Amino acid sequence: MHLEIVDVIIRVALIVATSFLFSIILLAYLRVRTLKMGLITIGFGVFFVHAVIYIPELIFDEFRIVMTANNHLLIHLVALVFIALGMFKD
Amino acid sequence: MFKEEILENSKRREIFTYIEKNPGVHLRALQRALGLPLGSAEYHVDYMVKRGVLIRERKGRYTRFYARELEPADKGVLSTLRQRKLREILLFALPRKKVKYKTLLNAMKVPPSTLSLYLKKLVDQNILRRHKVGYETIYTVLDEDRVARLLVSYKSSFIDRLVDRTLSVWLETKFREAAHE
Repeated sequence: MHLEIVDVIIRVALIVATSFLFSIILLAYLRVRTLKMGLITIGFGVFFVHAVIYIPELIFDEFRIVMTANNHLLIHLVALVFIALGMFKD
Repeated sequence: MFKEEILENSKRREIFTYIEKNPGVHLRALQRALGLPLGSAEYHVDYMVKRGVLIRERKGRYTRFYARELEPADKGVLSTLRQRKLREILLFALPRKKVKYKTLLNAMKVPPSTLSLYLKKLVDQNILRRHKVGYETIYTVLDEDRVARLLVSYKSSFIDRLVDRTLSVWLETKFREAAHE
């Protein structure tokens, strides 16, 4: 399946956005090193990894990640659960 | 009262930064460059000279000011003060010399666990001393001149401000109370 220009733009924008957020959250965690911030960092890390695993598809036609819509949603759910746990932890 | 201290400290930081970039500047030039009333500039400069943040050098008719170099030990502590809330705690505690945990909790408006974390950091860095009087926990500023120097000298970057806002959202917001209200 050939990637259209809009696919590339969206994926690159997603990678930039998640990288930026994850790096700020990670810096915040490194400053305080609490379990609360650690859980939130893991959540944003999951979003970041989920965006990054699509980079090879942009470069190599042979490389394809095949995931169902449910798998994508499950990854998002895992990320949000970690963030929620961090939010509500004392 | 607390807002006044933040404002005063930010004026002092402005003066300190200007003197750091223009060593040997005299008071009038400083006052004109920053657009401050002369009395206000003199007050802040005197405060910083007394606290050892600035060096005053008198040569004949002229008095010139220089920024004092930080000691190596202070540079390590400065990284702790990159966090805005820690600076606010010190700005609150400094004029009061001794402050109760409960007073800080009311002033800082952060969850108790977050305040305890911040206070532990300051105690570990030998900036505050913690002691108990009966059931109350009291915090005392150790070496006020050093703390005043550090509060004036720190330099925050764009990334520091982003991280501060992130911590303000995630660590200082009372999610639990909001959920129970």
